[in-house]
Amino acid sequence: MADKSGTGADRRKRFEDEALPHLDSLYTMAIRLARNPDDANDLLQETVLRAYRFFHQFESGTNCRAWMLTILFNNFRNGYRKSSREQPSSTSEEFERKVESESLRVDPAGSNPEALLSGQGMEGEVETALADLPAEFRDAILLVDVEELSYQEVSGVLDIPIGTVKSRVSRGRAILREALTSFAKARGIIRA
Amino acid sequence: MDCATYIEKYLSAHVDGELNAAELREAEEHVAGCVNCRARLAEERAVKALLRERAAMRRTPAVVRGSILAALDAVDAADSSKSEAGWRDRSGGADRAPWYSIRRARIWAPVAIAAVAVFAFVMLHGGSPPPAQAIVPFDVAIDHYDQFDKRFEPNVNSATPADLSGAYMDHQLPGFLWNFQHVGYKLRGGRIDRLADGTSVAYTFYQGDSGTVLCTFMKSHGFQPPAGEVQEMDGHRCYRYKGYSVCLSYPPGGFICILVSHRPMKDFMQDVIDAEP
Repeated sequence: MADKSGTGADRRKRFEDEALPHLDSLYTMAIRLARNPDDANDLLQETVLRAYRFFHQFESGTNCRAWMLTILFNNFRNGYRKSSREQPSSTSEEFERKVESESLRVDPAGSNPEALLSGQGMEGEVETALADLPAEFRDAILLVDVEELSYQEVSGVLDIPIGTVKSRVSRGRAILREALTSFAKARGIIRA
Repeated sequence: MDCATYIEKYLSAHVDGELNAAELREAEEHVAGCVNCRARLAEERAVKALLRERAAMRRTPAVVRGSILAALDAVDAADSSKSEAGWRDRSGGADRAPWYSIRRARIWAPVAIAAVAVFAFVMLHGGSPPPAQAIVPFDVAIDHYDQFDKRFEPNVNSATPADLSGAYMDHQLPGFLWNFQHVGYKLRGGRIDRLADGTSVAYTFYQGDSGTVLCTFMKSHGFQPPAGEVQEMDGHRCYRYKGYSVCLSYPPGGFICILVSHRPMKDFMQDVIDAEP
């Protein structure tokens, strides 16, 4: 009944073809947002059910993952923030100041992107660096770098202006670069 | 353009392909003439690539995926006003559905506890006779249980339940793990082996003060639940078989799950109920 273009079975088929392949992306993001598996499972299930009910509003040919992530973040903002997530606002100004100075520092002598990239077993470090990042930067970075959304799409998902997306990505990545470089140095991947 | 402007205003968008044509031209002109910003650009790309490749992507656990599919079935059923029949059919019948919903497991807990009371009654008053003939999957599970009870060596990464679950899924086995840790058992680890017919089988071994439990996942190959169960409870069929307590269920994907323990049936069933996710 929600899908004017066909029967319920058509809707289910289309949903399974277009939306459900993104389930792992949504689950991964839900785990990061909710930080505990029970909440994450609930958040994920509500998101998928909501997407299913409103699937007739999804425009075929646009990015379905972005559309579902928008629903996920909406659900999260509306119901989960209070209980399950740390509030980043107290530290974000501090981070902004820190990044302001670090991002302007140019250090070609210590630069070794190939070594950084080939660093084996950096999964743990990447996760640690992400966990240390204030949530607003982390969300923007994950959506751009891992989910490969455009700034325009991220603007929709996070409900923030595109200029804010740009500055969060820029600052977030600068913090990550610092953190990952020090990990790499500590492990001897890059010479200190 | 100076370096500060490039790094602050252009660098990230440059790497992300988010500059317009005019901006891109300016950015490339600057980078072409500036060794420092070239290095910085390479680093920014490396960080982006590192994230894309190394940020953990998780697989939705089978039991979560299953519960979501069941919830979609319920929406379909409500929408098509065909009542429950539609989604029961799709979940493979009443004997397979109960693996699914997390919420359902919570809702059904009181029913399950009531079932234990019924079970106790059945035990005292003599239920169906135990299965007399050999049941091959049960024998496989029991033989390995005896073997592992003496000596168990995991052969896959069992550091955490998530590692183990991932290892099983990598072998196209169910990634679902029972939470026997909640009822006083320790997860000793898992093994993936092959049966005589070449199909994979997963063994998960739990050890506690009150006893041990082995969970075996294997392909069902159409295996039907044998008659003679002592109790059926929310899709789990419990048997006394050759002196062991055995619990059979059907996870999604054409598998059977066989739990085996030396524990008395009544205690074992309570553990199984409490170990539901």
